[in-house]
Amino acid sequence: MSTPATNADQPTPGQSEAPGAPPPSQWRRVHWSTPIVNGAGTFTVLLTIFGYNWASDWLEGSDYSIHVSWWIPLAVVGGVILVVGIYSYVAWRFIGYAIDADSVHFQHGIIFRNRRYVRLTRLQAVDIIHPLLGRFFGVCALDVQTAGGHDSRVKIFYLSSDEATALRNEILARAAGIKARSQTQPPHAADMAHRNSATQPGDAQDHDAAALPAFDEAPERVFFTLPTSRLLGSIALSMPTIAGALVVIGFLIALPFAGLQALIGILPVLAGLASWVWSVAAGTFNFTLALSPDGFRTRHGLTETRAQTIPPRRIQAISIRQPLLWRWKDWWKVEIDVAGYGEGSDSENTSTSGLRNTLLPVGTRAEAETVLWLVLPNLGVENPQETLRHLLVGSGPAPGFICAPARTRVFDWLTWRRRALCITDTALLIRDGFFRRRAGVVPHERTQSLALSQGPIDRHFLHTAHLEAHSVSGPVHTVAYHLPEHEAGRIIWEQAERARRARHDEGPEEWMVRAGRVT
Amino acid sequence: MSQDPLDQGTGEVSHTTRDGSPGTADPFAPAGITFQPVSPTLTKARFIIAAICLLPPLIAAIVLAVLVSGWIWIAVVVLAGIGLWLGWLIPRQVRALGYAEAADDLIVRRGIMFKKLTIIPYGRMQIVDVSEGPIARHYQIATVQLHTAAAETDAEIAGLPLEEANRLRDRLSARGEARLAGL
Repeated sequence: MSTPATNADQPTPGQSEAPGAPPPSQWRRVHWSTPIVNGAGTFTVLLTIFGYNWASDWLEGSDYSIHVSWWIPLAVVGGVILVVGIYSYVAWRFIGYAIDADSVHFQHGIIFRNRRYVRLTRLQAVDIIHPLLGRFFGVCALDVQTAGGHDSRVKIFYLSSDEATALRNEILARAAGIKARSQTQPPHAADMAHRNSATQPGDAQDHDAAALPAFDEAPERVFFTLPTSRLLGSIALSMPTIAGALVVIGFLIALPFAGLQALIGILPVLAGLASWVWSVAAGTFNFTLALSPDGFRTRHGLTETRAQTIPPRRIQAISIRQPLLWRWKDWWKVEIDVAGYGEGSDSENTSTSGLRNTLLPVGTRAEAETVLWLVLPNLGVENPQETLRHLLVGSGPAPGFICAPARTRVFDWLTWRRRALCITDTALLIRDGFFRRRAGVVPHERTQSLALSQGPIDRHFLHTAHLEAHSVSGPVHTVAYHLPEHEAGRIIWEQAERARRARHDEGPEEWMVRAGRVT
Repeated sequence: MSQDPLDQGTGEVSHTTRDGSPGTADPFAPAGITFQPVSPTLTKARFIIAAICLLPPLIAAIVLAVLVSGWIWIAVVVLAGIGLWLGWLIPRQVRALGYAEAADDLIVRRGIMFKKLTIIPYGRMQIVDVSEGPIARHYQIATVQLHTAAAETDAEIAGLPLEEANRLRDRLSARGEARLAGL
């Protein structure tokens, strides 16, 4: 329980030692089952060991006198449970969280105390994770993600589901710039009543610390729910499944010659395949994408479930991809770069954590295009439909696209026709991938830095260069390869200027304030 | 292999534009931007590092070649070849390094064989590092590195005289502050 305390000491941008910690009355406790959910693995091991010894003594009790074999293991088990119980209780007493007007705080640890805070303006995404074990107690973890590189988050665990939802709503509402029950609230904020239940407008803010200030959940509209049939279909049409099927067919052919010994050879393959299928299916199961004023909401998972909220402007880049076999069904996958998501900590490798960057695991092309439209409402071109068609399935020259010249085919046999770059008024569109089509979209105002690179073959034979638009770590591929060098050399400066203007025109970080709904 | 008429002649100029002279079609020497070179002392520092890495194996190989087998002279020749190649490459690499402070961006250029030109907006900078190794410290030079929220941003300026490195860091911080943007 105290192990995370040591690896999280390092302050990262957006979070460091709290300058002014909230007063003690503001701190709230986590759910009582936290030590049990946390330490369940250890408990199980201990109980198994002692239970096993006890049972074996009990069964072959003839070696010992009967009353000794009764009470010693019992006392040991009781003692361990007592010690662990006391430790857990003390540790639990030391876990606390607090939220104030501009930050979220979390502290834990008895000896190595760790207190972290996140400024709400630095918030990148909020996840609610229901681990399998936690679901027995109805508890979940709340993960507030920031952009500060490795493990840059505040993870509050565990809270009851209602409390976590209320806390998430409060965090998002405050980050959006909505003030809680304040008298200075402007009158036109009344139309935000769905967010901010103004039932007690004059209520003091230093109200009972245990009670959560009421922020209603932002209304959401479900946009997409993944049918289980399509999930299974997408798994069946994936390379690992096909490879596994080929191995099985090979085995069946070899069966008459090699005999059943060959089974030993394919068992690891099948086991690996089964575990892969399970991890994908369990993580993606029941994937739902919804829209709310707080941004995108995704929910997914079978044993462990995860509900993510990614506020507006936190999506740094978008990728639309199509594995080879999905072409048959015209299925596409939409993934995004979110600051902090790409730097998953080592401790977190669960069935749902692999899907944090996914907005649409398997969708039709129309659905994928709509999701792109939701993230980037204005593609910045005259005829978005046409541009999207060229971007996703097109090959060769297209209006507005700068393509890899034909001379690059010498080193790039198949993909050269697909490699292209399109710069619109709002975003950089990168087309790539021959077998596995992929498209990367980087909005101008989200570009971090730009680079032009060129190797010796590019310079002496192809006269091409690669244009890189750097985005935060994530699945989106943002390099346009093999552009004609004179054009690439011109574009990069135009792009730097475009990005500067787009950056300049951005409004404040609080999205409700920006939308003019709250001042 | 270059049939495209637009590309005629552009392959040749790239070696001769290390002063960033405008008017060429080389995308790595944009018109109107003068790149600051880094300190030539960096060449010396890099030579020393190369020597530290190459000399002990070279001496060992010579000793073994004399004592054990004549075949080991092949290794000696290979190592000596690498040494000569580095002796030719390092000064050119150092001369290729350059940076320019434009109104809104820092521009960093590097590379002879693998060229790269990076444009980093001041407002996107998250961290500025100034670092120096023991040999660099002896020659009073340092490396300035810029970090943005993107891990790929590869903006490293090696071989700056120490005072210049600190001045650059302060200037970058001040400009970053003035043009600060969110993510």
